[in-house]
This record gives sequence, structure tokens and C-alpha cells, in this order.
Amino acid sequence: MNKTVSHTKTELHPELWVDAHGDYLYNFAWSRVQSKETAEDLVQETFISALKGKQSFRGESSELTWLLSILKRKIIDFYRKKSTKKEFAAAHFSKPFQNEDGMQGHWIMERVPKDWQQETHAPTRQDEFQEIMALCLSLLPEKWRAVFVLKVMEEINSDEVCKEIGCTSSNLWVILHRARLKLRECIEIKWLK
Amino acid sequence: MNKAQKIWTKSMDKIMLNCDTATLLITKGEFTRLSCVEQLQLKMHLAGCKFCRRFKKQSEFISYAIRRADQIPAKESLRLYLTEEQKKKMKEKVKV
Repeated sequence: MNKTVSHTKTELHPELWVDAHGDYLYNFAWSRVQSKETAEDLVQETFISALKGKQSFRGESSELTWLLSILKRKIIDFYRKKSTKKEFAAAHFSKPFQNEDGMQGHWIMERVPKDWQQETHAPTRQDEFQEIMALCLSLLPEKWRAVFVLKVMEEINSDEVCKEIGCTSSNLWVILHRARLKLRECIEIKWLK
Repeated sequence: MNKAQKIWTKSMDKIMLNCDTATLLITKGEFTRLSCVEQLQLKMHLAGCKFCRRFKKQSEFISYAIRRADQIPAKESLRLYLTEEQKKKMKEKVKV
């Protein structure tokens, strides 16, 4: 069986990487780190690591899939390094819920979710949505964004996310909860205006 | 709010979730299995709360849209392209 497989194995062509996959990886990285400079660095590092680890490529996936898996690792590393910095944890956001006794934890009327029905069904507004989402994601506090990217976009399991950026599992839900409240509100304000 | 109403809301608070906790459970429930009690509490809350139902729908929509952002954006103007100079720099570093 091995013999037949070896014929179809994908081969690597590092000399073509930048032209063939550069833009794709750049867009992918940018959607996760929201900074062009960082995205460029990450793509660069991905190519360098890939070249060094050429032997570990087993030819079972496509070249791009393999490069992408290296880039994903780089993104996690990026957030892990960030998480050791002091300003990482800083975040100011008042939740859209009431504080008064009796009504504690209920939506503040001015900040309740509005109806998006028409907007989400209008195909012409889908691209606009992507644009707004990227902007709002970039406005999240760094730590919240790290959790959001790793958990929601990369779908990494909670234990690993916590290990990388240093949080407890109940803490993780609290951060994700806040991140989503803020993200939702930001999108709504910019989208329905 | 009169006294009777206050007592009513307070005791309901113990059984019923408030929106803050309900939305937290919505988020949590998207990634892990909620306990039976949590599931029931959330169900009860959602049955009576239009805004949290909206929140849930919108959150799911956001998650869906964001996972789709894996691909290069469909709209030309949203795409990023490496400049020739950036590419040249990269190529130099990955010289075989």
C-alpha cells in the first residue's frame, strides 16, 4: 500500500511558496491578529519554520494545509507571548445589564439587542458585515480578542486556550461572555446606523 | 416598584436566570455541554425573554460569519495583498 501512496504524495516547492500562498496566509493571519505588520511577520516566520521543518512534511495533506497548520501555531504563540505582558489584561467595558437591586442583571433598555432580521438576510450587506466584524474585533481588548480568536475562530479546546494565555476555565467563559457582548453591540451600532 | 413586586422579582431571581447569566450560559453552551439544571434554566429564560433569544441568534450568526472569514474575503476591496517588496523580502529569507 505504501508504494502506491508514495506516488501521489504531495511535494513541497518552497521556491514558489511566497507567490502561491503568500496572500492567502497573509489574509488568514490578518483576520486573526488585526494588524498588517504582525500578519506579515507571522507569514514570514511560517515560511522560515516550514523550510526548516521540510522533513516533517509527510505529503499527506496539501502544501497549503500544511503551511496553514504552521501559521495557526504561530498565531497561538503570538497570543501566548502577548499574554505575559502587563497591559494584556486591561479592559474597560460596562455590561449592557442593570445594576439596581431588583432588576439586577436585566438588559438596560437602551442597550437591548435590536432586530437584525432584515440585515442578515440581505446578501448585499454580507460583505459589509465582514468588514464591520473585522473592525469590531480589532477594537476588543487584547485578552478578550485572544480568547475569542482561539476559542471561536480556531475552536481550540478550553484547557489548551487557558494553558496558552493563562486563565482558569470559569474565567475563560467570563472573558468570552464579555467579548461577545461587546462585539455584538459594536457590530450592531456600526451596522444598523 | 411596590413591595409585593419587589418580593416577587427577588424570589423569581432565585429560580429564574437574569439576562446576564442567561447570555453567559448561551455562550458557554455553544462550546460545552451545559448541566441539566443549566439547560432547564436557560430554556425557561429564553421562553420568556425576547432579547436573550435575539442575543442567541445573533451570537450564532457572528460565530458562523467569523468562521467563514477563513477564506480570503470575497469582496476584492476587503482583501489584502502582499506588495512586491514584501514578497521580495520574504523570498530572500526562504531561499532554498
